[in-house]
Amino acid sequence: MEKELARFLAVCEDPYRYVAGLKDRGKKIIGCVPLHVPEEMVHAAGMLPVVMWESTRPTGKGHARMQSYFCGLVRGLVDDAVSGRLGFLDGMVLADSCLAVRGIEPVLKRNFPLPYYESLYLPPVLHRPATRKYVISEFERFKSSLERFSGNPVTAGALENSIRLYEEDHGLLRMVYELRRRSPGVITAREMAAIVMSGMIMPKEDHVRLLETLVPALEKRSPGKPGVRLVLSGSLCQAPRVEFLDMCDHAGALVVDDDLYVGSRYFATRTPAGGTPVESLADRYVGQTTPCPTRIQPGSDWGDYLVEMTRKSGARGVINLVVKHCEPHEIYYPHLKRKLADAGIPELLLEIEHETASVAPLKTRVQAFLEMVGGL
Amino acid sequence: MEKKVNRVRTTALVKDMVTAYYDDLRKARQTGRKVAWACGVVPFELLRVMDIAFEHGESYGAYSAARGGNIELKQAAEAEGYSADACSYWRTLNGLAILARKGAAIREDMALPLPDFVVGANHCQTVGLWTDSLSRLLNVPGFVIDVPMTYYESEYEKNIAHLEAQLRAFITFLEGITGKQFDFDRLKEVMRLVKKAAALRRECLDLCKSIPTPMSYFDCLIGLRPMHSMRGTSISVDYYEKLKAEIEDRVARKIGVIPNEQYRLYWDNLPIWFKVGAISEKLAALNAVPIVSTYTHGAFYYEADKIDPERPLRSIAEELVFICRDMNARFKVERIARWVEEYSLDGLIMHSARTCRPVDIGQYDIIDEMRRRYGIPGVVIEADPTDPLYYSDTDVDQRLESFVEIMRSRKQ
Repeated sequence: MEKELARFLAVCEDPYRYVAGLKDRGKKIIGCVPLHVPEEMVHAAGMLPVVMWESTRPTGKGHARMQSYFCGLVRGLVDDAVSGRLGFLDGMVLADSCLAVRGIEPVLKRNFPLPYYESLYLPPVLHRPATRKYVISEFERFKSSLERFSGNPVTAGALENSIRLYEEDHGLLRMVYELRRRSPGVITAREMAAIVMSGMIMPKEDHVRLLETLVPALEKRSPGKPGVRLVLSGSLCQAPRVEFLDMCDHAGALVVDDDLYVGSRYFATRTPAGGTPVESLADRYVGQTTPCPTRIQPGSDWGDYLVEMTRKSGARGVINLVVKHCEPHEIYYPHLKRKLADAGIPELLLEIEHETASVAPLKTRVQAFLEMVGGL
Repeated sequence: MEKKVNRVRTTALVKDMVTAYYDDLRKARQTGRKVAWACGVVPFELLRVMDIAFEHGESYGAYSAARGGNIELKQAAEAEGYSADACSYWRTLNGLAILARKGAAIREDMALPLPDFVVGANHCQTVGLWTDSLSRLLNVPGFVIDVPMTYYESEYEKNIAHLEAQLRAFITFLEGITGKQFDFDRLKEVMRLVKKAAALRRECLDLCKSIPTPMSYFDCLIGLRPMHSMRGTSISVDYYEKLKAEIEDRVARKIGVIPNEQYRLYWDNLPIWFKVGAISEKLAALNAVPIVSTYTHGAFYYEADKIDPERPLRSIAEELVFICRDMNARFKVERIARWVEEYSLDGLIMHSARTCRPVDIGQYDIIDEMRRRYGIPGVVIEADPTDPLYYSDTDVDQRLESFVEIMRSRKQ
């Protein structure tokens, strides 16, 4: 088990090196910019989809291309691109997840020409019938574009296989989450982030294989020391820094569930069967069960969702990780705060900056919060 | 200091028009009309047909900033967890909502009736999300019109069709709110007035290709209201008739909007509403005048000839898809290039708006590109449409001075 975990941690430690190493496999590597890109379609075209991660460096050359008041993911991506750190990519796909992601393609293209760029428009008003129709046609267009670039036909069978593989992976991840809810502390926050994030980067076949060994082994792992049960929410397009997760562990928090992108948000929604595989992917998009602040879902409420997650998991409080300049999150945060307050759930807001030298200032706040909610 | 700018006189009419507009809005409920808050590029024409009184969220942001009434509204929002990094228009309107709900004191000229519903368009994602979050905050119905981004020309028609479907759904929503049936003949009538005013406004903008320019970008801004929340009325048409007469007269007599025009400029992104006067004077003193912008020339039915009053929904849909497409650098860069040629521009001022970011992305690349193609320089000034927190007089003044210096040495 420790071998699998070490593998996941190593992939996340230096994703640049890891992905560059995948070049040997002779497949084209396509960077999928969070969120909403149907990776399965890239996979079915015989290419390797890789979900782009946040650079941990302060921005350098990229600063001349992007103002300082964009989030770390976007600034870091542009910086990595113009600084030559993404030489392993053959292409990139963006899916209009936020106004920054919508805007950066021309900047990337001009300063980091790749053979393939593709931008998808996915209507955000999920419940409206016109949206599903549009998404299906957009995914069909994407399919043709992938076929042209890869030279491989994306047959219904190939796409079904890819969907099945991804579902298998996501199912295993759900099992790990279920296990953590059952025995909090069995897995550290950092390990959990690595388990999920490595799956966004590694070829899915490899990830599934490792998870298949890991899951039963984890069942037998003894739970760690007790602590204050918490839910982590936010960090909507990127993994929280490992230093931060370690700090939470050391401060005595037991993350028992999460509402993070590199976490439950990535795999929560199942891909429904029925219809063509493209329709299944469209149905997953319009039917996403996790309230996403980049989408309009009048039928669901992020506040209620988070309250329910907290209650179900027996957590004593919620830490909201708001990435600085993530406007969708900033827009809904006051709403989350109100809902949590109404439910009597303590909440701590931590604003996460890209250029952070140390997590020490956050540590004091986390410790104070743990004392308040858990009587540590 | 003596004023250098010879402002277009017709724009002085706008102030009374705005006062009358707000008087009407504040009285709307008494006459049984529904009230809406409309955010983003909402098709006001549809609201007009349904006789709904409305305030436009961003106009309110601009209005309150220009009058210095927005600070306490923003503070009220920030006190409830609204981030100062997020859209300042949004914070202002939410601040108003929060104070009004509490029954707190609000400056008389800043007070507005709370809405029966909110509607927004997501040509800017923030506006769509803001509409949804306002509807949750105020517990009133909300409708987001999905304005698709056109990444590829091949998708243009598909996007127009998608948007037409949104408009039909919105009409059904409005029928539910008002209990009235939508009158398409009335919409055609409204669109005829929109087309008339838009064509007149376009003639005014085109006349600014003359040297010296009779009107500045700042005059265009003040004159936007009649093409904005007032469009589709005869008031709007009258305004642009008067404006055109004045501008034609100026062109005929070679009267410029500044006394010694040497540098003709493009302005990117929104204005800095609380500094419009100061910046326009500052530039005039440096013999520079902004004439064109994405804002004044990229929306408000700039392409008036495309309006077909007999196909009103199609015309509205096309306008919204066009606005959204050209906010993005990939299309914007070609339009700016055309304006550089048509308007004989000497430089670009790129307003990097701290909390209004969709148009900011790619500004550095656009400067590079225009330098490469035409050899003209550009400058970035970091500020905000309505939040003085992000404005420094010294910084902006210095940047503008050195920018003009670069243009001067280039011309020599």
